[in-house]
Amino acid sequence: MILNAVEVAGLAAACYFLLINCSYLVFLSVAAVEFAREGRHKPFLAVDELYAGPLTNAVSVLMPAYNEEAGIVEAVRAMLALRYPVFEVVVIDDGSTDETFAQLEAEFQLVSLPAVVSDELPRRGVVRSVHVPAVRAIPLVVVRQENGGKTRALNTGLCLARHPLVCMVDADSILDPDALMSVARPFLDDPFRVVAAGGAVRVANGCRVVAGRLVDVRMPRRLLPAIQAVEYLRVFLLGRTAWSRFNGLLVISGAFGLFRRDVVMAVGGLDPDCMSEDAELVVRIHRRMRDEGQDYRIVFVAEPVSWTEVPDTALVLGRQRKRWNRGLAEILLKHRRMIGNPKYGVVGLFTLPYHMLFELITPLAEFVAALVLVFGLTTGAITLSFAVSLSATAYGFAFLISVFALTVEEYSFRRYHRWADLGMALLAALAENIGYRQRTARWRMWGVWAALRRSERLWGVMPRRGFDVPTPPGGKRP
Amino acid sequence: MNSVGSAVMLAGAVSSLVLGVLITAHHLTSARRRSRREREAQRLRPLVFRLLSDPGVLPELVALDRRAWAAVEPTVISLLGNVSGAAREPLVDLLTHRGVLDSARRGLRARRARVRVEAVHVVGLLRSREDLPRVVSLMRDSRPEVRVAAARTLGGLADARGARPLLGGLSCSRPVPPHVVAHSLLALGTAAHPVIVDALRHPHATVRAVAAEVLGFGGVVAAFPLLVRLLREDAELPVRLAALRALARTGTPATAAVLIGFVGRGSPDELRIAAAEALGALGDPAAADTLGFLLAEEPHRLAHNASRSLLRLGDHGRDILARVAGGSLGPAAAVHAIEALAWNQITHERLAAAARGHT
Repeated sequence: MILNAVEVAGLAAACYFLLINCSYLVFLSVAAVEFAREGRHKPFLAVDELYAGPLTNAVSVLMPAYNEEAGIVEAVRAMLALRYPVFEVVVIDDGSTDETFAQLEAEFQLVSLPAVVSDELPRRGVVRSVHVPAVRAIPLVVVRQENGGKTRALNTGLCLARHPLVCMVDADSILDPDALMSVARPFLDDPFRVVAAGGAVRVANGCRVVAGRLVDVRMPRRLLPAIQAVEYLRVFLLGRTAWSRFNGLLVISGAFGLFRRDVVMAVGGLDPDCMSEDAELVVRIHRRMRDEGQDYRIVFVAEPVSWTEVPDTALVLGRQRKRWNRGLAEILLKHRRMIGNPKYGVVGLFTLPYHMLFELITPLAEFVAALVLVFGLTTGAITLSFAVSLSATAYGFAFLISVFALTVEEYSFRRYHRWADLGMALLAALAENIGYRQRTARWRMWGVWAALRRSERLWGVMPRRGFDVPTPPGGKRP
Repeated sequence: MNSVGSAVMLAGAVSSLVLGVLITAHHLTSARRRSRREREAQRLRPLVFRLLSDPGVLPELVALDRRAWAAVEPTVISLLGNVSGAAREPLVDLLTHRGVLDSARRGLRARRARVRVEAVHVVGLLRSREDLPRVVSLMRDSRPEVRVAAARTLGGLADARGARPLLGGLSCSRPVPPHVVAHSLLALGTAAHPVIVDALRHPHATVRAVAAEVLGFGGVVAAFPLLVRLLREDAELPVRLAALRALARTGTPATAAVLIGFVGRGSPDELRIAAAEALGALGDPAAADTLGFLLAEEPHRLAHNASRSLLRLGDHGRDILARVAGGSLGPAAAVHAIEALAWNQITHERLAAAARGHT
């Protein structure tokens, strides 16, 4: 009897992981077709036409910053140097306790402006002062608010934004020079329907950065960030491209997303009570649009790239993954009425159930599968060769998916030119299954548990190592 | 299970190996191909630039072998898109002698979409107006990239006959993005205006909106009554907003009076906000009093736009702001006026600093 139960459980686990990996395979195939199509368009995109076009909408770039004194000036300068016809940068200093504001004030010669900040979003931060450059006509606004977290800072920025499109970026993100133009293109291609567009986020660890610009793309040299680079490629770039193809995109990264301001304001801005405020906003937009019966699109653009530094220690990574999965659990709980509801189209029928079955409970399934294997082996219910076959099939398939993702990257974007990068990527794809996957499963499980217990929300700090900057001639690296 | 498991693992291992080989092969060949082309192009690029001032090098470029031409052709095509006047002629001669135009004409009927896109692009660059009918037919191509390239080429050909197909590309079952159409319509010049004015009556909202935007940039006074009608009566808010922006850009003397009629509470907020901003851009002092009253109105953006618009109306606008800042319309309006006056001070200081920098 026990024998049968363990075997059935083992086979159920095998089927579950087979289903997950098959779904990844479908996503990757859809994404590969999309990239091939985009590749055909690319030489004829006519970026200059977009730049000079009469219908191009102005953009407010919102940059929340907390204790970013080390890189804030360079980050703002890089944002101001983006190629886009009309835009402003709104930096929201979320009660920094370091020299973040002082650095900006000195660099841009800021003066105070008695600006009226609208109360359209009740859950915005408490604004202390608003500043603009005194001498040069730079499209920059710096807001100082009492510390209230990134979400409230973004809500403050939304209240101050002057332009019809708002781009949310992290202060430590590096955007490709044409990133804003590319991510704004869907709003021009389909102006009546597109309400939000997300850009691809890639891993910046190991890359070389000069004056806030990424000048040399490299794979991270350490294994932990390298694994995340492959993971970002597989899950975020390719997965989101596929969901976007079916109008079922659930996440637009807070590190780089463009939204119609009126739509974000209409849904009440970002929710400070959710750990994944970026994804929650997208779900709320879906919900509102469907409730109102509007024809709309939320799209993902693979080519514009925002580069971000990922955790390079297990401690910080653990905090991040716990936060992400807790956020997902909170979203699914908050919007549970949408799950399986045909009224919400692809999002209700596929995206949310998929995220529940194959994202939220996967860590638990992995844990149970491991328990069953151990129990089966100790009781003799299953043989060692069965256990090895099962594990090897599950992880082997996962490795295959990662290699497939790297193949799509190589043929579509070819961002990594060196053989060493390619070798590191393949090594990372292999190493992901040995230790990394199991550890992230544990952190993710804690995240779900924290959401269910409604324990106190702690964002934690992400220590930045900074980017690889070139050594000045004859001098030491700063 | 064991035999199935072994088979699955073997299939997985073989697939991973195949993908690994594919990655390696692509990495190797694309790098080699690119560097070979780059070397060749670098060698020949000075010759292409010499052609602009010295037509004597034309035979040398015409005689290049296929591989060398493949390396240098993108430079010639890109250069052609960036030069005008007499500098175009030697480049057009070169492409004609190399048979690029003939090949592009054949390419317009090619089966592969990529070839059609490149062909229609070249036809546009060479401004071959005799190919206009074929380019128009590509506006209905099944592939979106071909339709976009055809729309751009219609703009590049600068022939008013392209206006109707361009507008048609907005409302058909295989549409072209509005910004591409707008850009091309602007390139057609005044000869296309009658067709665009006609499009203001089109049943499709996108066509009306794009036509309105384009006419705004063209400053077509004849379209004024129709734009006013769209602003007043159209069922679609984006079309009304496009009409409002167009009216603001045309800037006829009657425009301010029309726009003042849309800042009141009877209009949708989006229109009121846009109208308040447009009144500043028009700069008609007759709007000052109305804008002054808007400082006490909701939503926030309406009052904000009204305060900034008052700054653009000169002394009269600033006087109103000073009165409101003193509390004549209550504290909610006063804060907007105070902000605008402070902004005015900052912009003045910026201008003074810029002037000091120039002297």
